[in-house]
Amino acid sequence: MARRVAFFWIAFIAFLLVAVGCAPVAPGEEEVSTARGAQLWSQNCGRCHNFRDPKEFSDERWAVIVRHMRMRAALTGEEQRAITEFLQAANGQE
Amino acid sequence: MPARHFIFGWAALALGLTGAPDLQSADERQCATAPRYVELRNELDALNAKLDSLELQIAELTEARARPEPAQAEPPAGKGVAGSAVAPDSVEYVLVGDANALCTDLRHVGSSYSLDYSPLFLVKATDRLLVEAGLDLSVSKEPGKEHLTLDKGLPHLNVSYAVSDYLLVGAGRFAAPFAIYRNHIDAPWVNKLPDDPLPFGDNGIAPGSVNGVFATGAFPVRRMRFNYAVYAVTAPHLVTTEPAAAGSLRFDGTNTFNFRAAGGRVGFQPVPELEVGYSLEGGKVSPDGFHQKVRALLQAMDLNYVRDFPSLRGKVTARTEWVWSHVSRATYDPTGTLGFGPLTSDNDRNGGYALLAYRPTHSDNKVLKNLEFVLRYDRLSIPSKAPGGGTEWRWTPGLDYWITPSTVLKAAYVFDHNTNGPDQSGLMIQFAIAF
Repeated sequence: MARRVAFFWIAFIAFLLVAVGCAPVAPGEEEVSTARGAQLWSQNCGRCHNFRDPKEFSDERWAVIVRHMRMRAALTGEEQRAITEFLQAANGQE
Repeated sequence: MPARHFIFGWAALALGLTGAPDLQSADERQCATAPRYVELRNELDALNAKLDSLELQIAELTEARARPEPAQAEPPAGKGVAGSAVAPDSVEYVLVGDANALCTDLRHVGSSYSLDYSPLFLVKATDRLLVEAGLDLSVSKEPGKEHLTLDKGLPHLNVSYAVSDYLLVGAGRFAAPFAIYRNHIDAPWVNKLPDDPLPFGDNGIAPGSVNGVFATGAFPVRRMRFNYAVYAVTAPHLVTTEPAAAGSLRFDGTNTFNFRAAGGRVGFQPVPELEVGYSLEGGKVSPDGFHQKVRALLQAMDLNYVRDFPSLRGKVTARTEWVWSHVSRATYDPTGTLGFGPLTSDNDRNGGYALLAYRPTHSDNKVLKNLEFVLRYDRLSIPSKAPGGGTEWRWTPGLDYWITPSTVLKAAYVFDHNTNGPDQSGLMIQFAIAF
């Protein structure tokens, strides 16, 4: 059993190293399209709950809520930015 | 059921679900019937009208911006609403959460009522840093009690930092990313039935909120997607002195700040509609002063499939999770001074649920399209020699009416079977709302 647990942890540490190593894309550095955001929104959010109306929250509130959902739903940073951009574009508020 | 059979069964189910859309004929996918053509044509006309309207608005805005600005401009509409900061670089905060009212009438238990309010306060200090604080406040009228009971809890109090696009780390109190129920599904406006499945309930075998540190993230590989979470947290608490519960694990966070448990979950999405996951948590669970060192190993597998089927005129949800709990062999009350020992037994428990739901989202009837039909089977097995040992299983059909995407009225009837006591079959009605 101890060997299995050790193997599990080694695999996870390798996972993390890869994750950090191929990472550093700072938030806001890349262009993300609203269309991709809409696609990611429909693919990720609806798997657990109904789609909330984008008009339900303002731009600032969506930015905070999607950042929160990044932690809950294990989104990537790029997915977080794309979904946020889509919801902000679709909520009809400046 | 042997774990190997269970894994094979899941793999077959995953392949079946993934392959199912291909069974649809090419003609069905490419051609539209005459009524559908008219419907699509109408939709196109409506979209064109909206596009014209938007173009007009853009032209008006462009013209307005070209004019010289007044000395002191009004803040734009929609900004500065309660709970939001305005300046882009300032700290932003939001109050979200949910509330629900629940009535249950169970055989051999009686009627109970509860009101729950669970606010979640989110503070985004920078693009990378988020603080979340969540409360659970509950007022309930338990069967047989004359007075109301007030309960309060702190399920979330943590800070998380986005190290990179693929790694987020955090610390504090958070929902353990073990399986998916506690982390994704258990909010009353998300859960399709009024109560928790047995393994995730009050006397369940899976962790809930834990104190510790975590790292989580995801990365796409071609069209597939992997996600992961690892954590080091306070271990569950092994009950050693209670005659009716010795040998069971309590996930109530009373083992504060010992950080003796570690775990994680890997999730795999071969297609966007399907996610399968495997979770593992291990650690020392015996309390200080207990005469034996007792360890626990928890494992779980989960599958979540949600897809809109035009051929079925609706959305189908298929979800299952199974948890295995192994607690090393131990002797409770070895001297007999507590009155129930010495008690020695193997301590392997398991339980899970399978849920199937269908919502006719393509129906033309406004009432019917907001109904969701739900059926769940859940089960919890405890070794027969352990205190409280036996097997409980339930079938729960339910009907939800979605008033809005985040407001739901649920009714369900649970058919309960229990080898260790009277059944608790009965009716449950819940109203839940997210804000």
